[in-house]
Amino acid sequence: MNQIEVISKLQDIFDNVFLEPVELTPLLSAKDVPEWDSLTHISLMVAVEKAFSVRFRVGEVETTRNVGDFADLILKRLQEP
Amino acid sequence: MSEPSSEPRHLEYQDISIGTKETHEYVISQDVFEGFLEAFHDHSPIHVDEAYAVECGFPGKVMHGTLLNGFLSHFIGMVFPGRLSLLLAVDLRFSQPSFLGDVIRLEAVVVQKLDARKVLVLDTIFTNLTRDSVAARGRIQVMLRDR
Repeated sequence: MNQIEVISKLQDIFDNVFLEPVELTPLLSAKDVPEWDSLTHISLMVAVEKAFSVRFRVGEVETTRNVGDFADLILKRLQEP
Repeated sequence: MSEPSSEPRHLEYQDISIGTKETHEYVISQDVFEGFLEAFHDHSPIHVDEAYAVECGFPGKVMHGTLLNGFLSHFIGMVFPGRLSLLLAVDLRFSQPSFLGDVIRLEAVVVQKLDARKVLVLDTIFTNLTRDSVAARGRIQVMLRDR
């Protein structure tokens, strides 16, 4: 799986979590999407952990600057044994 | 029926595992019904006019579906997980109407844990024990505060 494939799968998750459509690009960040607040972010993390079967560590998602970074973090967790 | 608890339970995030199941029973009593009407003023005839509700094909006044949200609030804050809970999201789907005096059993199962934020995902089912039917199902997100 590469970043593009991860973002494609993320698009389905965003479509389910957000009320308004959000078109994902690697540079899109939370500040570009009014609905992407701290509580929606938690719902996203819950959905992503389930969909990708990964577990995030405390604080690491907050270090990602945009969707591309988030996808890279998911890839990193996917590559763990 | 479960006894009303006056003190909230104190469970911490690490004490709770996936698969943990808790239940509590509630009654849609006259006090609950009237308290809801007093607080929120939804006097739609289907809820308050017995004859109208019967005309519409129901056995009696249809209780407000959101009464179940009130039971859920008690459950999360007082029963499970208790005092450290902060309710983040509720997705409740109503299946069958409930009526005055019905006994509702709320069952919640932990289906996911988000360690990075101390969030539990609970699947809930509200069973109407009086009518032998499912009143509602829901998925809930609860954050556990540190104190």
